[in-house]
Amino acid sequence: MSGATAVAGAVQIVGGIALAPLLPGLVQSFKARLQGRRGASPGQPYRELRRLWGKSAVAVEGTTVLYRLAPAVVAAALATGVLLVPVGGRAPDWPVGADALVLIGLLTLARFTVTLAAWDTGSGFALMGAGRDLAYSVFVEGLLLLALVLAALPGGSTDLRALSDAAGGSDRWGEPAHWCALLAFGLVVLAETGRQPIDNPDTHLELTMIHEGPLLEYAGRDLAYLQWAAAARHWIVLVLGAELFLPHGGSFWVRLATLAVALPALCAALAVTETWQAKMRILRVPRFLAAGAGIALLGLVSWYLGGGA
Amino acid sequence: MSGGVVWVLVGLALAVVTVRRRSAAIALVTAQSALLGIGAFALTPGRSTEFLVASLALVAKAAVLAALLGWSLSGTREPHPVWDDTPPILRFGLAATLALGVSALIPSIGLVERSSEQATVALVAIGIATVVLRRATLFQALGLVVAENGIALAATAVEGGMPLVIELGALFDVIVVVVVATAFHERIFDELGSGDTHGLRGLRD
Amino acid sequence: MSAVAAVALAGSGLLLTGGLVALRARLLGAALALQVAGVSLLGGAGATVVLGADPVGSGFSGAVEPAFGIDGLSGFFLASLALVAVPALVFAHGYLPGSAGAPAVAALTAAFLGSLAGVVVARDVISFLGFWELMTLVPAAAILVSHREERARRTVFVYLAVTHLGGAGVWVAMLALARYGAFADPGALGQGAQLLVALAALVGFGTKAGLMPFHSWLPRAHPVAPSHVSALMSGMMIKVALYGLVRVSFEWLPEPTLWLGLVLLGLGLLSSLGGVLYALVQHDLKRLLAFHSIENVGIIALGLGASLLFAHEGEALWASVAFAAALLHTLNHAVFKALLFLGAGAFDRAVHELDLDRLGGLLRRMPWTGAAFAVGAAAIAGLPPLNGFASEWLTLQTLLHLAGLGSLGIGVAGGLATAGLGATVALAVYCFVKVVGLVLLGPPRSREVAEAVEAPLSMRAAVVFLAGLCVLLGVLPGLLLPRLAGLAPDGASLPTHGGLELPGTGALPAPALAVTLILLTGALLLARGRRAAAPAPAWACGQLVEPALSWTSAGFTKPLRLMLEAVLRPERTVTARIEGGVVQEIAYEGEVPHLFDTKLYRPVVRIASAGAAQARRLQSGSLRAYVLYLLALVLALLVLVRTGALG
Repeated sequence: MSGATAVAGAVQIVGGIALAPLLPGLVQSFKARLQGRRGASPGQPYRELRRLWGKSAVAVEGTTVLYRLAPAVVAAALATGVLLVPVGGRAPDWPVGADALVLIGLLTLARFTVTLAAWDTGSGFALMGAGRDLAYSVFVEGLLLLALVLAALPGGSTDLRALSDAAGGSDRWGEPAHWCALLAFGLVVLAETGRQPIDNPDTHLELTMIHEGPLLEYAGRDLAYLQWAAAARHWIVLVLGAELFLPHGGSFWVRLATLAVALPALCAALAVTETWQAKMRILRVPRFLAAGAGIALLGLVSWYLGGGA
Repeated sequence: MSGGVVWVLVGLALAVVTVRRRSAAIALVTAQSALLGIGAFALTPGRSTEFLVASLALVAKAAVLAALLGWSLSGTREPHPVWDDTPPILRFGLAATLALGVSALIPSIGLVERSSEQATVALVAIGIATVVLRRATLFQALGLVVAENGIALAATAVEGGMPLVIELGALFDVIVVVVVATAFHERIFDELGSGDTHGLRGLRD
Repeated sequence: MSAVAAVALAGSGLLLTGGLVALRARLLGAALALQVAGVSLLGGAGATVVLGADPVGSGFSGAVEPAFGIDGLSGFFLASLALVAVPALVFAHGYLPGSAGAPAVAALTAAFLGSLAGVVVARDVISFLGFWELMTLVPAAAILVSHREERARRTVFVYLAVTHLGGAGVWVAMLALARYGAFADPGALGQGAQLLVALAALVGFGTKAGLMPFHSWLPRAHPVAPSHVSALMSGMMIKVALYGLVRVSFEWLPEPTLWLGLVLLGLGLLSSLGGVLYALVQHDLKRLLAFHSIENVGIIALGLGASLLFAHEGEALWASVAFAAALLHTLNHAVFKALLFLGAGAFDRAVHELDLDRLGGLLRRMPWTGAAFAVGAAAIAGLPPLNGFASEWLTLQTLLHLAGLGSLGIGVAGGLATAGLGATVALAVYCFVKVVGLVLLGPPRSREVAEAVEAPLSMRAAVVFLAGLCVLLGVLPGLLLPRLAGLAPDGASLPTHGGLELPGTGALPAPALAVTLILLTGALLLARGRRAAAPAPAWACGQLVEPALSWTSAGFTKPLRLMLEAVLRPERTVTARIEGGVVQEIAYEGEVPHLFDTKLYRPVVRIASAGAAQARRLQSGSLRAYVLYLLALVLALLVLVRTGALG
């Protein structure tokens, strides 16, 4: 294993586990500035996690072992997902590989477990949020796979390292397919991170919670795991966006530096989107996502009409 | 059998289709069967003894039929006359046209004379036409008897005769056709009060 | 005769004996044991052939004499049959003694298994069609034996009518193939004959497999059959129909056609999306599972269509990979669908209720059955590291590769299919979260459910075995992949690994994934510590948590029902009783009608009935009219003879 690969592996672990909470913190702090407030520092999520780690947990009456196991399973799934995403286009040969479809499967596992825990508690708000989240996920999955198809078109491989290499260089930027893929993936990022206009992460009204609903019934270390998992989701989709759809190129170190710049830029873009857009009506979101899918299909058609490569 | 006799048989069959009263029809059918029997008897010289027996059976059949049908008739008085859908002239015309058409179309079936062939087919056709055109139940039976007479005629007109066919046909007539038809005739009368096949339409599901 | 053939014959003999012995009520246990032995021998013979032995028996022939044989594909289906049938029979040991007509049902089960095996090993047209008909009729008999009421009889009528109408396609296809001698020499079929055979096979085998839009019988028939027979129907009968489709499309038609591949892809997409969408809005557990069978048959059809398209474009490696994906999903679906149906049967036996809104909390009362059912639900939802994820991963890989293939039509089809399959998986997750939540978790919703007892040992053993099989097939799918890819025409050879590894693309390292997940979960649980948690009620804004506040099946799926209103067209009536200006009572009735029934089947049935009513005009009831028809016929024939038209 070369030095570059070892550094990539280290950045994967350290970044994914330790730096992940920084990303939602950055988004919140940018949003505060845009809204004219001073807001909390980007390290606020770390303080949250430390506070939660010291508190005692809650056991909802009438729950089974599923409720107790769910946060650990979700965190484990997301941690495995972090290992799958390469940084700078390189990753050591982890035994779990680096396949995009496996990553999607792990995210699905996390979603399934969280909603199952919601059913275990029987809580009305948790189930309301869970139902809406799952209804969105139907359209988000289709959109995500279309974006993946577009990303995989030049190389034909779903290995994330190969996808990252294929997206490097400047020749991809001339193809409308790549722009369409970028747009589609942008919508996926919004959906997976639960940001406006699809979902409001700052809401305290239980009736408006979508991805936060199931989290209502947890406290203490369980809630710490679940909040870290949400941060890890940010890390995964933002790094994927930077690696697959944003410009990068050159040697590993150049790409690592580009990534270090791209991540805060993407957080700023998320903050701008959240400030500029209001939350959309729940029943309008599928149309929004379907428009993204239509654009992705147009990209696919344009790739073929352009002759393919 | 000479051509004249054969055409008289056909004429009697046409009369059965046309006449209104049941008693007249029974008389005509009896006359037809008797004439057929006598004509077969006249052909016996030169043929086997079975043929003689068969011709006697034909004559006997005529008598038995007359008795059975007459007895059945007296037991079942129609409360009101059963009017057929088609007037007699039309019946006669249709039956005659049918007989002519069929006898023209029929290819050669191997009987001794062409006139016998045509008469046979004409009798069968007229018998079936009787079943179709007449409403009273008794006429259905009479139509089948006429048709069977046609088959018996064919059996006599074959080279050497087919006595077995004649006897079987006579047996068929007497036992199956008349008895069963008469029994049903009685039963239908009991059930519906009249021998009108229109009443049978109610049995359809 | 080779050893494999002898084993297979012994197996069939034991199966037949088991069926006959079952007719004596006291020997039910022995009969079922004989059937288990018989079907295991058959499965063993099949597995031996698949795993590398030479094919036994004869090849396909168009001659009219019985011929049987086992080759790779038949062996695979025989092995799947054994894997599903053995737990089903063990389950029946506990399930049958309490139900109506037990000896007859046990004997019919043996006949069903025999006919399933017979279709798969038949090598000539007559035995194929004979066993095919038997396979159709035996479940109908089993349903009628165990239920006598009017609803069951209507269901059987619809089942027989639809399967026979569609199944005419099977007859046409097989007889056409035999007539043109295509078994021995596929090149003998002309263009028109190829089209006829392909269409007939698609309609015929598709009806039996449950592809939309020929699926109408499936959601009606599977729920009313006895549970182990439902498991066999969903697990194997629809797969045997796909076996027929595979034989026709891949072996007996001379070359893979573009239109057949695209049609299969389209029907597969329609079936998978439609099946899971209608499953989502059901509230009867077995009917929901039946719709999921339609969905999974759609996924298999996607794999088969992709394989045909790859073969058409000349990519032999990916064609065999897609073929292997379809076969792997066939096996996986058989396993987890049987598990789910047997579990549902156990719940039915325990609480006599299968309406989702009236169950609840069964995980506590029936831990083994409940846990196995949960594993089956996770498998069918396609979660790693279970077997559903492995075969769906493989199918997604092939569809992704199809999207990048090079021509516009195929590429767009592949892209749409990929997105559709992704949406299907998400919908299946939605549906089975709801099912597990309503059935196994939460408070019991009736007294009977609160007092449910665990299922007897045989039923438990059957479902736990199948759950273990799900895990095993999920963790080591790569052991089967090379053999399955080799079964394709122009089969490619792939190296054997534990996980799924394909050349030129990412890999699914299933064992490593499973181990990593378990280790990480364990580590996190340890880190969480064992501090006792304070018990508290669920948060309801300070109100008491009452049963009236709990969620129903319709409520949970409402967001999607509203989002897809134009497709699902739900109907609802709300009546409120108001007295003195105050609302006393509100009644809400909602229903999602099955669009295929209302828009497609009912008009067809209406037109057919109208035509029949017209034809009944000929039936005047008048003897004289019938004689007139006879006379007219004779006259017509005479004229024809005269004019020489009849020769």
